[in-house]
Amino acid sequence: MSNAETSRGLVFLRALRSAATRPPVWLTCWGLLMLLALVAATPWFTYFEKAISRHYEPGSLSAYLTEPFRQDHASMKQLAERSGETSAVLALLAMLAGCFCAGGWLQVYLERTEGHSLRRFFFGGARFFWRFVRVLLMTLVLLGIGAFFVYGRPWEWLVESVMLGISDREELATERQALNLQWTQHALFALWMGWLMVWGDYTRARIALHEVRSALWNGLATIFTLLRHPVRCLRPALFLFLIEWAFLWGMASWVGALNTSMDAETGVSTVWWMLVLVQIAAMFRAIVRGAQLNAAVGVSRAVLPPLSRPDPWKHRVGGPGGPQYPIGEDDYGVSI
Amino acid sequence: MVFSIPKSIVISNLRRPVGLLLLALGTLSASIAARAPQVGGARPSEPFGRGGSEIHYRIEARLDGETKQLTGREEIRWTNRSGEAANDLWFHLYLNAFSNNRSTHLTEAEGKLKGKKIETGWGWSRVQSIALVDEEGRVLHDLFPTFQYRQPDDGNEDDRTVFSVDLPQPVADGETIRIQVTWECQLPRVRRRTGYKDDFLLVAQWFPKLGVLESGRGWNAHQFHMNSEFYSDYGTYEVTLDLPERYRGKVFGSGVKANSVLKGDRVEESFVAPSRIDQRRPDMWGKLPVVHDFTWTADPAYTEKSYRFSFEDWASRFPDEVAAAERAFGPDEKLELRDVLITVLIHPERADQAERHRKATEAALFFYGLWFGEYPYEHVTVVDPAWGARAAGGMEYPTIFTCGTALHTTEDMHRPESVTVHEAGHQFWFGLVGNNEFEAAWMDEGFNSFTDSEVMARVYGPRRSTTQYAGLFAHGVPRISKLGSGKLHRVLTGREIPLPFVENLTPLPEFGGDDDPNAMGFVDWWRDQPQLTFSPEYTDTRWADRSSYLRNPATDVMDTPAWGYVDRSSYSTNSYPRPAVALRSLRGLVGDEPFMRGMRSYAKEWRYGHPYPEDFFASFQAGAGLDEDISWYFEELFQGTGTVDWSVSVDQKRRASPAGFFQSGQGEFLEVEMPEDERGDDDGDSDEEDDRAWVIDIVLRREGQLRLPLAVRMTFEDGEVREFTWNRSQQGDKPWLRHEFESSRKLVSVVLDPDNAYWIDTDLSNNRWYDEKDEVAPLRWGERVFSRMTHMLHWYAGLGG
Repeated sequence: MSNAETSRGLVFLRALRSAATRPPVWLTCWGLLMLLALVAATPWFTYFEKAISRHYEPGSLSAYLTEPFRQDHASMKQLAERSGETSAVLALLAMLAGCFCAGGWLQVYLERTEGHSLRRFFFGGARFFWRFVRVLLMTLVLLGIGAFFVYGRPWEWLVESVMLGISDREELATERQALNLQWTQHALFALWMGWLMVWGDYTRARIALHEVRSALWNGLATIFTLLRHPVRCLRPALFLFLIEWAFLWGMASWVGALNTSMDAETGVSTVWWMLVLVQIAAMFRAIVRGAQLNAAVGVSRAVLPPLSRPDPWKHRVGGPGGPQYPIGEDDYGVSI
Repeated sequence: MVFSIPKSIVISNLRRPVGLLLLALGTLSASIAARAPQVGGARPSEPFGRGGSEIHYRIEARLDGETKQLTGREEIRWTNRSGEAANDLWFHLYLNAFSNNRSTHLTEAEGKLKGKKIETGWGWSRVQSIALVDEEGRVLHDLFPTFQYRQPDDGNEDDRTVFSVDLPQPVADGETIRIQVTWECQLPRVRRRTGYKDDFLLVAQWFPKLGVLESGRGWNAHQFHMNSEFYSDYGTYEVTLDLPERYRGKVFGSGVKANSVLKGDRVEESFVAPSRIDQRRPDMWGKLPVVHDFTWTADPAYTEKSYRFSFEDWASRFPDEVAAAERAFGPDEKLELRDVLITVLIHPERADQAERHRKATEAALFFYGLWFGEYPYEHVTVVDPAWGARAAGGMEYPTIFTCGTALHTTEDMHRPESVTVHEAGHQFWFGLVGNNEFEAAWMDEGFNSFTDSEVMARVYGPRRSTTQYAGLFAHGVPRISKLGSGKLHRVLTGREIPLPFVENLTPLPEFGGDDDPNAMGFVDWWRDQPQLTFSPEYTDTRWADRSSYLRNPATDVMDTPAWGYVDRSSYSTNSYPRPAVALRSLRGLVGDEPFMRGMRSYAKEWRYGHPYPEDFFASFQAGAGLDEDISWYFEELFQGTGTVDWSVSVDQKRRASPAGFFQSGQGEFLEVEMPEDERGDDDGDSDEEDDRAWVIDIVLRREGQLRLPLAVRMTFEDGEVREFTWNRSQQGDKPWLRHEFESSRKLVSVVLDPDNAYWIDTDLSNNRWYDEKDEVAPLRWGERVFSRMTHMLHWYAGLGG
C-alpha cells in the first residue's frame, strides 16, 4: 500500500471511511451481537412485566426502581444470577462472533470487493475462523500472563515489598498513595490489554495477508513487527480508539441525560430514544472495529516484506488457466 | 446485673514494688485532684437515673511515642448513688480485649477484626497498683491484694477485660470514696475503635474504668464482647497527657482543652470534660451537663477547622420542622438550641470534606436537638481517621466522634455524611441518654438509626447509588453485574484459564474478588460504559432501614444482650435497622405529634441517666399523652419476633345482566336472553359505556403474628376516595377480610397503609392494586438490560477480533 507511506497520518481516516461505507458488513456484526443481547434481555422484560403489572402506580417506577421494589423482589437477584450465567455463554459466543467478523472484514478488505461484500464477508468469516480462534486463545493467555505480573505475586514482591517496603496498602501514609498505586496497576493492565488488542489485529491481518495458518508463529512475528514499527502500527489504532471514545462519550452524555430525566411525565418515547441511541453507539463501535482491521491491513501491507514462496511458474511459460510451455522441454500441458 | 460467682479468680503477677512506688509518687499531685469540682453538689435537679452514681476522674498519662506504650495514674472520686452499699469495686480494662487471640472479644470475632486476622499489633492494659486514698492522696488502704480478674459473662479465663477489688468496708449509699490506680498499657495497632497507625492515635477505652453499680442488680461490668460497646457512670474528667513534642497542638479530646505546656521534647496537654463553663451551665431542662467517658486523639497530620453551629441558621432553612415541633411540644417547651463550636480534624488529602462534615454535624445537632433537647456542651470534635486507620472510624465518644472517610465521594452518595450524622447523633442516644450498651445496644444504635435516617432524608434526600472503578465512582448500577461465579462461567468469560501444571491464569481478573468494591479497574469501566448502559438508582435511607431489617426479621428478640444474638448478622439487624423500623411504625401507629412527644419525654426524663427498655416504654407512653395503652406494641415489636405481611387482591367486573330461566311470581320459569354484547369472551371488565354496576370484591389478607390497625384506601374513577380500617380485633378474628360491594363507578386503586405508616410489612409488593397497568416500567428496565448486554458483548467480541 504505497500511499500509506505518503499519507500515514490519514490511515485511520481512510480506514474509518472504508469500514463505514460497507453497511452490510457492520450491520451484520452489530446485528449478531444485538441478537445475543436480546437473548439476555428478554427474560428481564418478562419479569418486570409480571412483577410490576397492577401492583405499582403507573409511572412510579419510571425514574428508578425504588428501594421497596428492590427489597420486595428478592427474586430479581436470582434472575440476575441466572441471567449472569446465561450471559457467560453469550460472552463466549460474542468472542467467537468477534473471530468470525474479523475474518469477514479481512476477506472483504483483501479482495477489495465493491458490490458483493456480504457474501465475501461470510466466506472470510468461515475461512479464517479457526485461525482467529487460536489468536483469541493466545490473546487470553497473554492477558493472563500480564494480569499475573500486574496483579499477582510479582507485583506484590517487587513493587510493594521491595520498592515500597509494605505488606499491606494500609501501611502507606495516605489514601492518595494507595489510590495512585492502584491506578498504576490498572493503567498498566489497561495498556497491556490495549497493546494486545493491536497485536491481535496485526496478527490477524498478517495471517490473512500472507495466507498462512500458524497463529503462534505469526503472533510471534507480529511482536517483532510492532517492536520495529511501533509508531506506524500503533498510531492509527490509537486515533481510532480516541474517536470511539469521543463518540461514546457524546452518546453517553445524551443517553445519560435521558436516563436521569425519566419520570412519570416522560413516557415510552424516551425509552425508545435511549434504545436507539445506545444501539447507534453499538453500530459505531462495530464500524470502528472494522476500521481497526482495515488500518492493520493497510499498515501491514506497507511494513511487511512479501512472503517468500516457491514460484510454481518459475520454470514454465504461460499463466494460470492457459497453455503452459515448460522451458527447455518438449512436452506441454493445459492447466485447468 | 447479678453476676454468678466467677469460675476462676486470677491474681495478677504484677510487679508490686513498682506499683507501690508509682502509687506513692501519685500522691504528690493529689492535691490538684482535690480542687476538682464537686459533681454531686449544687445540682438544680436530680440528674441521675437508675443506678447512676457520681464520678470524677483525674487522669495523668504519658505516652512513649515510639513503642506506643502508655503509663498512667488516675484518681477516681466516686459517690455511691445506687441505693445500696458497695462491698467491692468492678472495673473495665477494655484494651485487654486486644491482648491475645483467646480474649472473649477476639474469640467471638474468630481472631479477626474488620476482616483481618490479628497476628501483630496486640494491645493490653495492666494495673500496677490500686488503693483507697484520702483527699490529700495519702494511701488509706491498699486494695491490690484482692485484685482479681472477672469473667461474669462466659467464664473465659483468658479474658482480662474486667477486674474487681474488695473494699475493706462497705461504702454506703451516698458515701464518697477516692480510688487511686496506676497502670500501663500498650496501645494496639488500630483494628477496632482504638489504637494507633503510625503517628495517628485514637485512644479510647484506655484507662481502668469503673463499672456501674445498679440498684438491686449489683455491679454491671460486662466483658468486652465482639458486639458490645460500653456502659459507665456520668461524671467529669480532668486529663493531662504527656506526649512527644511532635503532637503539640495536634491533640484533641472529649470536652475542651484547658492547657498546653511545652517541656523540652515533650508537650503536656490538659483537658476538662465537660468544660468548666458547661459544668456550671444548666441545660435547657435545668440539668448540669456531665459525660460518661473520655477519649482523645492526636496526629501531627491533622488540619484543624472550626465552625460554629447556629440554631437560627438551620431554623430558617427548615421552618416547617420547627413549626411541627412547636405543635407537638406546645408553646411552653423551649426549642431554641445553644451555639456549639465544631472542630473538624481532617487529613490534608481530604481537606475539602471538612465542610461536608460540618454540615452533617450541624444537621444532627439541629434535628436531634429540636426533637430530643439541646446538645448541652459548648464543643464537639469531628475526627477524620488517618488512612489505614479506618477501623477507628464510625465511633462515638462524648463530645468527640470519628467519621467514615473516602476520597472522590459526593454528597448525594451520603459518604461520609451518613456516618457523620450517625455518630454525631450518638451524642444524644448514648451520650446524653446513657443506656447500657452491653445489654440493650438497640436502645442507642436503633434509636440513632431511626433518627439519622430521618435527618438524612430531610437534609440530603435519597442516596445515589454508584459503582466504583479504581476508587472513582460512576453514577448508577448495572442490572447484570456478574457473568456467573462458577468455574465454568469463569472459563467461558475469560476470567480463568485452567492450565495443567500452571497456576490458573486470570486474563480478566476480578480485581480483589467479586464483592470487593475496589474490584473494578479502567478496563472494566471501558467494558461497562456505565453512563451509556447503567440504571440510575436512589435509596431513601428510611426504606433502607426496612431492607436491612428484612435480612433477619425474626431470628432473635430485639431486646437481647449484645452477645446473646445468634450471630453478628442478627446483632446488627436487631440493634440497628429493626428498632428503627419499629420506631417508625410506632409513629405510624400513634401519629406524628404523640410520637414526637413520647420520644422527647423519654430523652428528657433519662438525660444523664441509665434507662432500660421498660423505662423507655413507660416514659414514651406517659409522654406521648395517649389514651390507649400500647404496651402490646412494645411487647410484640421489641420483645417478640412477630412479623406481618398484608396483601390485597381485587376482582372487579360489571354485574352480569340476567340471563337464563327465572321463576316468575306465578311459578313459571321464563327465559331471559343474554344481551349480545355480553356473549362470548366478554369478562365484564371492559371500560366501554355500559349502565351495569361494577361488582367489586376486595380481599385483604394478613400473614404473620403481628396485628396492627390497617388503613385501606379505595379510589374511584371520578376521584372519590373512601377509607376504612381493618382493626386489630378483626385481624385477630380472621387473617382475612372480604369487602364486597357494587358501585356505579369503576375502582381505580386500592392501597393498604396509604400513608406508609408501617415500615415493618415484610412485603409491600402486594399492598397495592391499580386498575391501570404500568406499561412503561417493564420496557424501561428491559431496555437497560438490553443496552448493558449489547455493549458488554461488543467488548467481548473485540477480544475475538
